[in-house]
Amino acid sequence: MLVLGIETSCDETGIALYDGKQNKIIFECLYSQANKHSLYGGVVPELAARDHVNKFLPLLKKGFKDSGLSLKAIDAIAYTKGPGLRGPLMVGASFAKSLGFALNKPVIAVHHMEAHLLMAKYDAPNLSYPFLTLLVSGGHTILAKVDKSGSYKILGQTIDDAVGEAFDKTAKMLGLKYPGGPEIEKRSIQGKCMDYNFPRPIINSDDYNFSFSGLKTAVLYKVNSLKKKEKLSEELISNVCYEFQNAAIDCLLHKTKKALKDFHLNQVVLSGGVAANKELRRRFSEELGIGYSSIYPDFSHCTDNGAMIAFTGFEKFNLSKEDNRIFVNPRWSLEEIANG
Amino acid sequence: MSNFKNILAIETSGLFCSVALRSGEEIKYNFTEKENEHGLVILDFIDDLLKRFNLEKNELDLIAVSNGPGSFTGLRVGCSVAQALAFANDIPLIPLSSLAVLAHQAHSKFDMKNIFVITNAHMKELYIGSYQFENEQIKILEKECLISQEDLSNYVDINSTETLYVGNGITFLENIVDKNAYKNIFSHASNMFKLIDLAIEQKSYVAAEEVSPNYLSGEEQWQKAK
Repeated sequence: MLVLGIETSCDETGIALYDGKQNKIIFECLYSQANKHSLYGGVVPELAARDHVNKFLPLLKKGFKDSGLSLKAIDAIAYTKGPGLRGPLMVGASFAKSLGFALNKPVIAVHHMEAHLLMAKYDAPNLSYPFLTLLVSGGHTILAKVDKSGSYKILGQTIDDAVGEAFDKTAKMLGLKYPGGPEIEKRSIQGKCMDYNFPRPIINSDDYNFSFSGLKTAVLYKVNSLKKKEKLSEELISNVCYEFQNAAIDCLLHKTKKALKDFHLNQVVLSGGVAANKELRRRFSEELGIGYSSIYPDFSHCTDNGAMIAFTGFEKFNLSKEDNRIFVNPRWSLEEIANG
Repeated sequence: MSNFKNILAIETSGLFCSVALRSGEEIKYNFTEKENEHGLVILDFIDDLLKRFNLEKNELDLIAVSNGPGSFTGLRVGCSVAQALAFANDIPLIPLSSLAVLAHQAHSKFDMKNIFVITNAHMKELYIGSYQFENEQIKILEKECLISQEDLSNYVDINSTETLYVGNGITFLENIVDKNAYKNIFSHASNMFKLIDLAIEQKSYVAAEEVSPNYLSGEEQWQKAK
């Protein structure tokens, strides 16, 4: 069974074809608009939506041409219905529903974050339920317990900025380009441990929540005070990156360990764009402790992509069939998967 | 006439979604008076029209879409739906100016030769376009563009009896003579076929991926706002 996956929730147009019978991705095409948005220091929703319209058909054509398959060979279409940016989501929804309509194929609505976490099952087939998941991206920081596919209990989440957002904003303060996450990661390698004493907000709270806005503000004050004394050198920038990244990872790691212990789970799946951070992966692998393991999707599947939508669409095939109405759910909660 | 027997027309540039299907000489249409419901109704509208003509989806020969200027979201829904249907059926598309569609509609209704269209682009801006209809042809007198409300008076001659001003943007015209202005006119897909026939004559149909919304406001808007 061939499922076409369509992802347009933010600034990447992702299209992929997944063969459920063979558990194989036939093709995946991705167009990232990051360069366009780097001019503005963040995603401009209207421009993102515009670009999705322009890139969609050329990407779709390329995928089918390269794979030698015909569009008519597909059995279903899955698309990201939310959460995400309304304008960009509407473009993917319009194409998905119209293709389904024209080809008389079922259309399946996929939850973007569920797709991120389920994709780990594709890249790590031995993963077994239940497990803990840490979803970390520019829009989300969620710690959830996964009992089975479709059944998620959110244990905690950020009470202010998402961790990826904190990375992006910190990078902006330091004059680094958008998206800031990969830039900070790169700079940190050259960075040294300083005594900046960046806070680890609410790290010892008796819950599973996160907070990154205080950390971001502390970085801002530090950068401003450093700037007063001297020009912000490459070395200083790297040190700030190092200290910031360390603080952010400490918060994620600490709450993850607490949740694993409290809920008697021994595996955690990390996904979302921030899960591509190598230092994050290294520290989770080394510091979770004996008996605990951390699992990640491939680097290419951490950031937004069509393959995870196609894969999740196949998993959901028997559960969700959509009618002809084109609408999206920009604030769809992971706990309300059934009410998309 | 043409080889295109079954032609679908999509109009989503304004507040109201309308879709029309012409099979041979006969035109049927669907239209909603609910604002900004393009996405919710468009595919069911198309489905209903095909059923009323007893046609299968793959029997469509051509799709025309009014690709702007107008509501950004509406344009994207209309263009995406048109592109997907055209691509899946391997048929061509015709993009039509939403202002020209409105002008033609006014020309048919009021039998005036010169039509000046003004629609509200919000944020104190207006879309304008000026057209002349003669010998079954349409001529563009004033290139479609986005202007600020303040500049409108530079483009119009309110005393003209030759020109009819139409569109929801004419409320911004001060002292307009009532008889040459008409605001309550909204683009409707069923009125697109005359322009579609002209486009077919000129062979100005294109492949699905060549059509995109014509926003008339480019990225410089966001660069200014930066």
